[in-house]
Amino acid sequence: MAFRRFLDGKLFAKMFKGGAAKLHSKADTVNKLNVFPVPDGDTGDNMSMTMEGGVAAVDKSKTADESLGTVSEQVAHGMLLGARGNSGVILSQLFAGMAKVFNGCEKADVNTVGKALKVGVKQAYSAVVTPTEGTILTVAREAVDYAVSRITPDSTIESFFDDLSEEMNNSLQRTPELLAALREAGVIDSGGAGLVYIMEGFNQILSGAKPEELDDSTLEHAKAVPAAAPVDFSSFTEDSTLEFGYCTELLLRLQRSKTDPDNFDVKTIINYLKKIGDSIVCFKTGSIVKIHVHTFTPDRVLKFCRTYGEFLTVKIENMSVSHNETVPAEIGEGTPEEPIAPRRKYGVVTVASGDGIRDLFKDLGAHYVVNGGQTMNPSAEDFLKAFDAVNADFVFVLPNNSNIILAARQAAGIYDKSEIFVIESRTLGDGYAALSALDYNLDDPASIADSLNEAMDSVVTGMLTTAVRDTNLNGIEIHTGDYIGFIGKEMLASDPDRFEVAKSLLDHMNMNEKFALTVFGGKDTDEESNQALEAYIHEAYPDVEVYMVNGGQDVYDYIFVAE
Amino acid sequence: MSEYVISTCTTCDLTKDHLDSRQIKYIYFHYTKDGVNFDDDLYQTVSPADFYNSMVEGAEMKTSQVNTVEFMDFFTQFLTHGKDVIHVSLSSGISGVYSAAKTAATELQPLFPDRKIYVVDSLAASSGMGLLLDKMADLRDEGMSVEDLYSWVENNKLRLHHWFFTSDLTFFVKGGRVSKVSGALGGMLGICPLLNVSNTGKLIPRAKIRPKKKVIIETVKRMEEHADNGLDYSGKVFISQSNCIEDAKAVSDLIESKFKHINGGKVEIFNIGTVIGSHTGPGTVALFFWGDKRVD
Repeated sequence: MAFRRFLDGKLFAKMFKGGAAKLHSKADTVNKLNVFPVPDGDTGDNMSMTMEGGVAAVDKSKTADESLGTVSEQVAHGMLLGARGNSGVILSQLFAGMAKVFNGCEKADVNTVGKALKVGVKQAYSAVVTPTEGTILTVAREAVDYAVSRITPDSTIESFFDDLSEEMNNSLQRTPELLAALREAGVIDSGGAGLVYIMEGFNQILSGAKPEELDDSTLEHAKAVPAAAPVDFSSFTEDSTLEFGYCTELLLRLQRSKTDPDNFDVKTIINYLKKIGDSIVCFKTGSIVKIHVHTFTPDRVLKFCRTYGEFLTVKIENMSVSHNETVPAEIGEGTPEEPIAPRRKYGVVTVASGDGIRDLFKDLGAHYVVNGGQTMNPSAEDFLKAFDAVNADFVFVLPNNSNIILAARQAAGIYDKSEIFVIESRTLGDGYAALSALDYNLDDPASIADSLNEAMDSVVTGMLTTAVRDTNLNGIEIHTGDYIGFIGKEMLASDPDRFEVAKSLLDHMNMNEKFALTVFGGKDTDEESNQALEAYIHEAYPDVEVYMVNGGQDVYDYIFVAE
Repeated sequence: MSEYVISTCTTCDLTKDHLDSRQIKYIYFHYTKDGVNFDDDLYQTVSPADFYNSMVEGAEMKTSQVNTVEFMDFFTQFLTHGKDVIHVSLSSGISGVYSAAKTAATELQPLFPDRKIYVVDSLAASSGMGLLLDKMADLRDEGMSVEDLYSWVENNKLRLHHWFFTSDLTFFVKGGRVSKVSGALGGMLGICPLLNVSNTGKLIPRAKIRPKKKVIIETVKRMEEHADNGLDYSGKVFISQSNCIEDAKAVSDLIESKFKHINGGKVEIFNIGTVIGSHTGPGTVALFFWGDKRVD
């Protein structure tokens, strides 16, 4: 195998897809590197979905330009929109920084790649208000510094990425030395681990290996063809001519009776499609081939493909016919007040899951509640859709989760149709307190933002859930399945009895000094235990006003918000 | 006996005794309950409890202002006795009654060319108007002329602070005195809007605070911030309340524990009358004191 002196656009695209595939296959492993024993915005999934945003952007590309500058720009833009969670946002900024250096380049030598990575690292650091060492940031920075320092006139793309990969691994192993939380939990940093897998994917491509084989579950995303949109039939009449052809999407299962699924080369199909269509996307995962093509003769596509297998799904749409996309669709689906609201002065976007909480937030004045939270971090693009739906001059965004704030900020940075104020609500309790104080009578966006921020100052949010693994945190021994109570990242109580944990948590929340307590009961709580809890609170803290809300949230049995 | 009369309408929310003893003349506002007319007669014919209970039970209250003809008759009785008149009217920010009084004065002036008739837009309401009138009575008793009193009140009326909260804005919004521009009106999950009267005499929600105990503290905090001489405030303090005497007492207790030099030693608590009450509903506590000039 020849060693390469240059990285070009085609190779970069292949490497990127290889990295995305590798990370996808390891997403669960990364997810499990979780300091806190609660299900949360899983790093592996977040990073993987962010990478997929980049892959999709390249696949959807309509330009024939395959220069490094163009491809890296497509990747960066796709990732920017697809970014979820803190690690996803950091990852997207890493590639955005690289794209800046690659801008206008047909290809890049090792020195330029090194420079691009350095700029990428710098940009990733600047995306975070207070960068923490011992995270993905450290892993990226140390590896890039090391690999750049090893560049010689004999360096090749392969040797450079080898160095990068090697040092990333070393740096990753050192993360517990830098971050006490990792040390305590006995894990390495999950974001850093994700980056290491991406790099492994890069190197697999460079060494000529096939991209990571994706299992069928990978195709969940591919299969999620959006539900048929309302179709305006009047846009194609008896007298219309077929102007744009058919958008044809197929999932083909290769059949042993017709071909050798294991060794089938999708180029066979791609070469045929090139003769009769364009906008071709075609890839094979396992024995399934996903096919996307724009053609005037879909019948020929079907006939050709059937010589190798049978279809799992078929979608053929006349592209001259308007397919009214309803906003918003797919993941992060929100619930706008109405589909297209008239332009308003002020709008509020917040994030929640659980019917009770969503309804409450709307009653308190939220115009759009992005579906998401602890276990599903919405992407920057989900926020962009929400901004569009709210359609206001000034939009206040309450992410309600520390792992969603960055994506909201990223979206705010991209969006130019409204002035966006990201109110850094870190918990549902923060969001609830802020929305309770929402008052447009202040009639000045900065003052409204101030009042929302101020309302969060005096709030303490306690969370009660079930531990998903054994660990020892803050001197408390935790067993899988036990109930745990914590405030922020501080573990405070653990017990097999939920009521005991609630009592202990309330004790830690200094309820004696508070005026009000709102209790959000999760979907796994029942009326009887909620009433028992309410009775206890009245008795133990007679001066506190108590409001019980049927939140319906998952993960947390109880969310206590003290003000 | 002074040479002029201080007059007002019953939206000043003082008691009949208070008005009589301070020699402040008043004219009744009106309201209709389910279409039947009543005078805002300082609770001589209906008790506050009965009035607010009927509101809660769904009685439809509408208020109608004093009209020009009534004002002309009202003023004439003083003018024919050779007295000048200074009339203090409910804020133009919440009622049109000021123009009715003003028109009456303009109509009457040619008939009584030697008399002075002043109409003051108080930019105040409820016992805030009351506190303003009470101070004017002091100045009159100290011998201030009607001309000087008029310029004094014009120069000082914005120093009168109104801070009030409610556990439910519904009646405010229904009466059109507060627009529903933000999400919740309060009444849900313990949210209490805190409002004040602006420099243009309008009711402005300033904050939403949970729960009631905290809004009580916040209200008193506003007094610490704005009152003349802060905690050394030595003027009078009035509170008016609509069928929530416990909440009003919680506010006055807190004030009396913090402000040791209040004129008269204690806070005076009044009922919000039937006209102002038709727009607040029950559950409103309003605090009035003298302080820095209202700027917004």
